[in-house]
Amino acid sequence: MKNQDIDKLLRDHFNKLDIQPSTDIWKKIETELDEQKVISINKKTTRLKVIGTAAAILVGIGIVSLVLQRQSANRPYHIKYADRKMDREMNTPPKATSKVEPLPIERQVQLSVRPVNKGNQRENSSANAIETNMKVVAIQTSQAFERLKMGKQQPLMVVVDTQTQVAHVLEYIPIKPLIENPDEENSMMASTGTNSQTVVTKVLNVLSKTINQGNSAEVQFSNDDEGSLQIDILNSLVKNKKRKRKK
Amino acid sequence: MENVSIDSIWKKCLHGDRKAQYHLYQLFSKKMYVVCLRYANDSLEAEDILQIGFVKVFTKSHLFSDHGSLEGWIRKIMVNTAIEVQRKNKISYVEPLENEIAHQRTHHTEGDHLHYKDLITLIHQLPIGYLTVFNLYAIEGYTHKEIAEMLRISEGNSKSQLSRARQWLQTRLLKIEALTL
Repeated sequence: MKNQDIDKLLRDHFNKLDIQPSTDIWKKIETELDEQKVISINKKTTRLKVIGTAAAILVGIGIVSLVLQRQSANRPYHIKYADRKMDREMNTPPKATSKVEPLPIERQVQLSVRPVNKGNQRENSSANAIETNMKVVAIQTSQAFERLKMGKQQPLMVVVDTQTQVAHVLEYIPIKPLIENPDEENSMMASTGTNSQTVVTKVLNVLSKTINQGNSAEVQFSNDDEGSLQIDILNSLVKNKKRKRKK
Repeated sequence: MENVSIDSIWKKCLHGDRKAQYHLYQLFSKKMYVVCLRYANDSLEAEDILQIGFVKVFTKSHLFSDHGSLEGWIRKIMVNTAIEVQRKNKISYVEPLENEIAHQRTHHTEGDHLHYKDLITLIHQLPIGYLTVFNLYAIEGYTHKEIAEMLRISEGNSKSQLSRARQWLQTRLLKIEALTL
């Protein structure tokens, strides 16, 4: 078959060919291989960079959270310590050789000192600075703990002086909240507090009284700053005052 | 014995050993250059195909599984690269019109290889479509089905191109034989 002869002829001829390509081809190949190497290394390093920065961020977050935890744990530490310690002391028979160290009194605890008398009522008065008027009355340890037992609900602290083995009872005022009891706040809104009355409002108030016979005045009328009529709803279940204005 | 040395060279190539890569290139470049010459329009294009092909060989060396001949694998890469380059140059493998047959491509073959010059010249005179199919079928040994897939043509197209190539070569070879006699 001539077809196959042709094929074979050319095939044989090509196999025998021995032609050398130009010498600079290898240099071109080498250059391109080097470029490819750089690209793959770059990919690896960018990957590493991404993983590295992610790890660093996580470690940073961990450290910050640890620090914050420690800070928050430090604050009520001394008060808790006092209460815990006192509980233990009270359960065990009080010994004169109790090794209670003076508790750290920090600025957050405001102490006011009152003479310790049995039967006295403890009241929360205005707080004094720690530096002023630190009177402590010496008292026997057992009596001090008795006091504590009785007034457990009250903010008391027992400090035993290790040198003289004398127990002192201190009353401390708990931290005043920044905001008064939110349920009771009724002065949040800017208002003068006093309501002015005019003829119209007086008449309306009389009307509401007669309608709500016997009940405490739940609906009252008054005039606000600008003189508009206003309805005050007292004793409402809703915390926010509703103000309806009529002109 | 030669196989052992090729194996050891190839293993080094897998790790990117530049010396081993150069050694491999020296072993195969001549043969592969001829392969490229068969497919290309001229020797410049053949060099391009050779360069691209070898870069592929070294960057994709991990893809060669150990069974089968390394030379065959490298050759396949060269052939595929050649077809890619042709596709880039927008060579269509549809049957050429009459005027395309007259188109003569230039060649820059070396002066030293005068005894090969005729064949290479001859080959390069074939329309590229015929030439590619002829190469793939007659030299590489692909089936028409495989050729159709590689060149994205129909099997019938492949067959007709092959027969045309053969006819063309036949007439030319007879002339050459007549000349050399």
